[in-house]
Amino acid sequence: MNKQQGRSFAARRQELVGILPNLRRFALSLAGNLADADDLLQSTVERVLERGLPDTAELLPWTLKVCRNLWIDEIRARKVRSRAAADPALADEQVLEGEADAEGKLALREAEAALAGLPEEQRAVLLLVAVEGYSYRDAAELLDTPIGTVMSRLARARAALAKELGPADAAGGRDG
Amino acid sequence: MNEANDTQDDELLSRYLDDELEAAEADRLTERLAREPALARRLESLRGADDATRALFARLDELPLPSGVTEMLTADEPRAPATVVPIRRPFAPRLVELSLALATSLAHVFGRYADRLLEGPGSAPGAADTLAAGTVPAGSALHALLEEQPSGASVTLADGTRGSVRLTFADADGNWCRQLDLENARRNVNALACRRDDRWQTEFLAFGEPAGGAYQPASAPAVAAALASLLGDGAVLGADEEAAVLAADWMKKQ
Repeated sequence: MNKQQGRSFAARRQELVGILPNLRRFALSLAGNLADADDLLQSTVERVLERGLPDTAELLPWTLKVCRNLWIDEIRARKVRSRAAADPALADEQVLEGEADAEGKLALREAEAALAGLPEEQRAVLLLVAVEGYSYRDAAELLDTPIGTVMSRLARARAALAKELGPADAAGGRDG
Repeated sequence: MNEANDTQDDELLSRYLDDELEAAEADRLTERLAREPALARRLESLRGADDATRALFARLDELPLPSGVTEMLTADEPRAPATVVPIRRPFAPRLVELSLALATSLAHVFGRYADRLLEGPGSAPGAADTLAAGTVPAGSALHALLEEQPSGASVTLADGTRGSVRLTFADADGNWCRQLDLENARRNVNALACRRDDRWQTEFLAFGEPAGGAYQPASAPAVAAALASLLGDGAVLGADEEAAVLAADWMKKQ
């Protein structure tokens, strides 16, 4: 019965440390703001440490699925969905102040607001494919979504971001 | 060109960016890009969206992890026995990966802070510079901190830097290691040092900015990864265990 707990606490802990950055990015892509993302990260780590994972499971995909399921449960249970635009986190003073030049900081703020304006499922697929380098097939499997949906969500996400971030002549159609 | 065509093209360009087109589709698109400047501009615009997304998520790694997460990942094993003896283990391939990640993080940290590292407070080397040198000189205030102070005690070193040890543990080979914080008005340092052959040697350094008393490591994931990669199969020492180790002059665990 305890295949789920087949790995030792110490081994799970070490492995989890290695994937924390990936897990946190995924949590942020789902939650859309840092405070909720870090709550989700903590809940996910806690869940995996408590319950472990099957011996045959790969840690990262398994943990991302746990994270996604927890987030969906959170939404159903608490109906909490807030936007990072209303609570900017990554581009504000929490980032080491001396390192961020004003122009770069502004660009980050714009990117953060634009990304926060995307639907959660578009953010998640954009993170997995464009940032983490997942194939469409793997992203579809992880998000329990058809490949065609992954494809269309990605295109819509990029188009929306390009519209928000790009110069005026790149925002709309391409004839002019 | 109408909206439906734009949407179709966006999907095509998006798949192109992700290397998800069949070879024939990619060839046809490459030809179109060569003769349709508007389409080529659109591709660059979508690529720019990816770049902005990557830049934004990359910033996340610079923010400290929630303390709840780091505590969970460095806590004693549930129901661990009161006296924990680290178990020697063979070098695990997993550590190679962690070390690589660590090296990348360190390169990143040092890349960003190299200039500050070189600006010592005055001409004399400060405590942080002593740590950066690799081996902590016997007789230095930093050596005394590592050698004599229990975890949690805060001392002020000669250059005005406040220093404290956070925790003590044994690595996989039974060497004693300590995590310590140094902070002055301009920077803070989170470091891991291990006692090998009767000398304290720096295993890891991360530089950050002081934040009004609240410790903010430069790269919390890197610190956590470094700690986990050094930590043996035992746990962090409790206060009594640490006191016993201090009293025994750091006799190495067998």
